[in-house]
Amino acid sequence: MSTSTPTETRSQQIFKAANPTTQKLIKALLNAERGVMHMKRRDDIHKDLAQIVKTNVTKA
Amino acid sequence: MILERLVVENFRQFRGRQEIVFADNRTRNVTLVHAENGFGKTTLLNAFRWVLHGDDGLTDDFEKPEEIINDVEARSGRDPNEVAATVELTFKHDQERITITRRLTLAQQRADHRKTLLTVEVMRDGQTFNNVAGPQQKIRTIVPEGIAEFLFFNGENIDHLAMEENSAKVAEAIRVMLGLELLKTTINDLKHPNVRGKFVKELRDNTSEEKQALLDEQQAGDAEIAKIGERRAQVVKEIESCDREVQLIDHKLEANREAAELQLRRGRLQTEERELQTKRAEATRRLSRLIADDGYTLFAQGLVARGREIVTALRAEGKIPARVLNTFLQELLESGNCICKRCLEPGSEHRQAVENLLTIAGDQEFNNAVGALDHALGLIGGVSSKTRETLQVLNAERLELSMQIRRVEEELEEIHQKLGAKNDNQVQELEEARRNHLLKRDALQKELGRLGEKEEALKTRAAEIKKAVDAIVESEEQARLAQQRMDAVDDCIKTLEEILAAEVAELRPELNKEINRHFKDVIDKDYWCELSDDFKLRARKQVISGSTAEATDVAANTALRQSLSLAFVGSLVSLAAKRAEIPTILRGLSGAVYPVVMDSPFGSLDLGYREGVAKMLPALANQVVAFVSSSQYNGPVEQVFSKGGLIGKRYYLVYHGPVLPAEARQQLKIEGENVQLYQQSAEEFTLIKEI
Repeated sequence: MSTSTPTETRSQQIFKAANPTTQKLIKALLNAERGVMHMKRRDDIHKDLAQIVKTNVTKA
Repeated sequence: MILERLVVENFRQFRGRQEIVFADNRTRNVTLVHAENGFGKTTLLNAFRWVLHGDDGLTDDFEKPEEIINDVEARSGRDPNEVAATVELTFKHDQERITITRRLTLAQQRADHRKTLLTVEVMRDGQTFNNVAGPQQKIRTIVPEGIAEFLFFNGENIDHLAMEENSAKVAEAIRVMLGLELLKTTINDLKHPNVRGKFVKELRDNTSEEKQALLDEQQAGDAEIAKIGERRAQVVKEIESCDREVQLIDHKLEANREAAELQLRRGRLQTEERELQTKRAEATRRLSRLIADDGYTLFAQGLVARGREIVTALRAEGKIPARVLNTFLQELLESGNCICKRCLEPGSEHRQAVENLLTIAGDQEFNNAVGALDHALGLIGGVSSKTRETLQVLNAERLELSMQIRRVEEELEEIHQKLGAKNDNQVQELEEARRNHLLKRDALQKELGRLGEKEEALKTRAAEIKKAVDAIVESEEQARLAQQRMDAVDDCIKTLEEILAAEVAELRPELNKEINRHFKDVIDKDYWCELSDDFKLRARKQVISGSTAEATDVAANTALRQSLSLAFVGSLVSLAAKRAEIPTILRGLSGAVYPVVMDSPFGSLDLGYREGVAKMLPALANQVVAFVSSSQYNGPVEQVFSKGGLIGKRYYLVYHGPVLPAEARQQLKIEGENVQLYQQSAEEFTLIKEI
């Protein structure tokens, strides 16, 4: 359960309330997207996102 | 982004090399370009859009985008590799001076007009970097494509942002201008078949037949929902197009002597109709709320009467209020002492006497319950009569409003018939075309409704399928892993969507403050603006009814919607500048200063609105560039600008051609000086002149 401080935004609370895997995934996914956000062609982004999920979710 | 200079060379009707240097003074921050209709205002606006984003950046109303190079130059017979159109834009951004140059040769225009030569030069710390690598990407980091339409736009068309069906556009504008598009893009990419779909496929390939069938249905449903989304966007665009056409026709009818009076009457009636419809919708909303909250009381009469009978009978039997309560007696027995101080020892006759009373004592909880029931019955009775009364009033109000709306609709039909019967071909044709556009619009609106219903049904089914899929436990490891990965993607999508909604919700109060700051410049009535939770831009007013005051929507005409939309754009530009000060989960969101460049900001506004918009304009952004015709400028706009000392730079476009376009003026008086707007010439071209 997350504890909120007065300076935390609602979106930060939502993020902290997510499970650790989701938090880790979101950071990695956003980093990947940030790298290509201004490009017209983003041919590899889907492959990269799928790979990030595979790398972070490894055990059934 | 602080604009310094725009240079156009052989770009459409701008023949030869022409330039505009922009005002950059903080108080005199308006650059005004006077231009009659047909002289090149739209082309000049598109020069900005083209230099930034090429063919992709051009506006929908830019005709023949495959003909960029000036006609006369293109037909000159010179080497097609030497004949070219060029637009160059110089501006300051983040400690850099940047010059973007986009060039299209005649040879290339003939082969593929979309392939242009783009160069970006950057001056930083006294050093110049020519031919910066990845020029288009560099431009996108400063002015992403999604932002351009909110910074460089036609003022006459901007009112669409304040139309109910364009709330998605408003949401997009907020995300794009205020740096949240990264979240949306990530969500969309996660939902893509090559990401989520990949894990769905892996799961499908390793799971039971039952789950396979569900997953197949899920994928089909998702594809259908995506298709509906695309069609909906298309329909909204078509509705906008119909509205623009009808607006154009209305202007033409107003300008026609035969039709003017009837058309003006129609305009007033349409405003009245919208107000009545808004009031009726409000009455319906209040009725729905009443029925939802208290409607049950109308059907409770029988129950209330029966309840009262039961309570009365219990009273008559002496059961309520009970003369002695069981809880009281039990307390005495537990304490071992009676209220008369006699000892209630076990086995004593006093104790026996008290224990005997328990058989006739009233139950505490029962008494409390009956007391509460009696009270509730009284309340329900009271609410029931008030509800019935209010229901009658609201129904009468709705009926009256419906009758008034019907009356207005009949008058509008009468006007349509009269205009259609006019002995003037142009009026007949315009009226016929108008009716056709309205019929098309109605059909599109209905389609929008059907698409919404279908989407809702599909989403409900999708939720059911997901539940069913989740309920099936996987026995095979590979299937389990694929399921986990799919769930992880879904969790990320859900969390990101919540984060995006929360980020936008945090911005809404700031936006509303800014929108109202600009809006007050235009409207001197007691209206205010509101950006609702579902991204509808509305003007609101207080309506006093008896002793209560209620906020209600103002029925918005085109002028009000245009003012709302301009105020909204201004609020986005203000917040974009101070983005770094607003808390956000995303790192690296710094402020960005943007100009606003508008073609015809006074559009079809009447004089009252023009004065207000003229006052609002300079405050919209650090730099404002506006292209205005003489009919828009004369009168209140001229007064506001002359009095305020707001204009830092002033230009006018001089059209050269064989014939002066209809409704264009040859001359214009600006600051006491007569300027020639038209020169007769065998060839057609436009020159930019500074005042």
